[in-house]
Amino acid sequence: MDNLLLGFSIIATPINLFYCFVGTFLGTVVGILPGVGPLATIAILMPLTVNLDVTPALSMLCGIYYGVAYGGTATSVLLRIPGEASSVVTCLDGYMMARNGRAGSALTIAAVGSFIAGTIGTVAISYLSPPLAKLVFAFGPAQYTALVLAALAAVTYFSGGALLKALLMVGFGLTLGCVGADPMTLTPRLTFGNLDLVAGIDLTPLAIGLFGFSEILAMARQPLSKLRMIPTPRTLLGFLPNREETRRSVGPVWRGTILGFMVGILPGGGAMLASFLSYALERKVSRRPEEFGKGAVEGLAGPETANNAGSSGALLPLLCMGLPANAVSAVLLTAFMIHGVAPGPAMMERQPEVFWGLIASMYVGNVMLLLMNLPLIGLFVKILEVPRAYLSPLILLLCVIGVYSSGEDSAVVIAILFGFLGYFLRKMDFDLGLLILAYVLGPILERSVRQALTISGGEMSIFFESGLSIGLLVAAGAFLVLGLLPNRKLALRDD
Amino acid sequence: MLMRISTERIVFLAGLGVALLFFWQSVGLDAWSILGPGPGLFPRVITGFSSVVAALLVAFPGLAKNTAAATSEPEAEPEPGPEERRIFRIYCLAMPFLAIGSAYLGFILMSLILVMALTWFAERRCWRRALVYGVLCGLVGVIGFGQFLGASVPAAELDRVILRFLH
Repeated sequence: MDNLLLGFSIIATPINLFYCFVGTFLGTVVGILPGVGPLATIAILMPLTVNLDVTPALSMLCGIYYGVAYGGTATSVLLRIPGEASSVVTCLDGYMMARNGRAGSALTIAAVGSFIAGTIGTVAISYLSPPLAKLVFAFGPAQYTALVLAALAAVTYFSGGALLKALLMVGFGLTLGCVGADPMTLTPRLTFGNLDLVAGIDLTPLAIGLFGFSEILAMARQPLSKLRMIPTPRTLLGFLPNREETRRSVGPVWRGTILGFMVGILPGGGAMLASFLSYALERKVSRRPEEFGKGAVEGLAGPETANNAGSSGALLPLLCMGLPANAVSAVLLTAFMIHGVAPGPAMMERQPEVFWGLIASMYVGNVMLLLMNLPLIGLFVKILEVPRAYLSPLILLLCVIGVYSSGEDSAVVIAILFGFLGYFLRKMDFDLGLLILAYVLGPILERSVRQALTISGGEMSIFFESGLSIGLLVAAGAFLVLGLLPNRKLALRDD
Repeated sequence: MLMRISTERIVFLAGLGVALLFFWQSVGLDAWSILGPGPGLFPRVITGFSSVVAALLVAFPGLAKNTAAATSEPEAEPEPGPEERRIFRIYCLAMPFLAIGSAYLGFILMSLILVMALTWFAERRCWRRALVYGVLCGLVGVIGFGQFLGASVPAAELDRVILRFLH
């Protein structure tokens, strides 16, 4: 409790509150816009935060991360366009509620559910972080290797595409992470003699290329269509759900919170998987399953709550173990490192003001999101009326600033090359999120493998000496075997 | 269908080629040193793994379709019309322009040309609005991001003149 109070005392300064607001505001906007996702936005803004203090910078970037889930709801409910991946399920019942004249109720139920999930998720992070951080000390290099392999296998499985294509993306991500000087001997690796590559491929051009430039190319190929938005209520009273809707949403909100948080902690989990599982669960336990897809309150409240809880849950392994659970949190990990913060148990001991300041910013950010999203959501969705002709050059220029600020002369060229590659891979149905996640996890995996083999004098048996690492390796193998089975019904992308 | 499979196989072949190139690079590195695992061990394992996966996909492209999503009928993507194709080509040309523009033209001039190319030429919006919008984007980039946020923004003579004028 003292730690949390310390966090609130840190976040309660005008500058920290301002950047927390900027993050949640941008998160909402990004959630609404179909063209640019949280990953590209965080990658664009990451270099721009270098001059900021660590707490406001990380509060802003995390605000984007969890704010996205709020913004995505509005377009799903009012336009049947999911602003981001975790709001796809909301299109089913949220949009139908809006068509039945209950747009205000749908937005309120989603916003309040998201607020409850976000707040409970943050409370859970506050209380689970210290014990989980102690658990990390049970992990030696061999166990950590097994953990990263299990995480990669789980993410590959949950990505839902063909297993071999997913593994190819993981392989290329790990390979790209090796490009540049070896961290221990400084020997140039996989550079093809190019001196520009000795410093390695920076995450910023890679992420902006794969998720920013490629998205603009994909948008350019789409035919222009006129949006038909369902209007929002003119008064605040119009946003209030009736008694029946409130009663029906209580259960799904609680179930969605618990399920979403637990799924979020899992590697490969996160907001999207949480929302799909919650929808399936609500349909299963509902007394009116026939209403699903026709405007069932449960079909909106459960998934909307679960996706926010999933976003919060995914931050737990990142903050306590330095292990990102999905592509966006992998980019966040890099942002932490740019600011000299190494997430993990040491962060809580050596930089408690950063850790607890960040946790407190999440509480405050969730309140800001609720206040912003209820009365102003009608205004926010007007952003979608900005024509592509004006929006795409703006996004491209922001991408250039983000890439250029990363400091490398060749960064813009690298980003554009990855932009074309990303567009092409997207068209061929490859999961780019896996590539980014593997790229970030690659150096962590290599360091663990090398440390373990150095300790054992090159004996591979070190990876099978403890029950923990055997269990994790078995889990990794199980995910890969399950992934080879036909008719997997998961097709989840968190990018 | 045959055409689709053959396109996929070409993609997997390209993937195999890239993986083998990286593998060839990693083979020249020491896998072991007197200190323990060398700089080449991990890249060799990873690139070898990628090569095997890519080779499997080349040999058996059907393995790339083992999910429910693939077994069901894929959602037909609408074929872009001539106008969409024209717009897409201009956007494609705009990308390399950004690399050149950021290196030689500075931010304001690059923004202006980019916005004119995309907003006016590609999307057929009013040229006066595009012109004003391009200048505004450039100024916001240089003054807002470069000056106030301290971000690194591509700068040429025009950008420096504007900043000197502000001082």
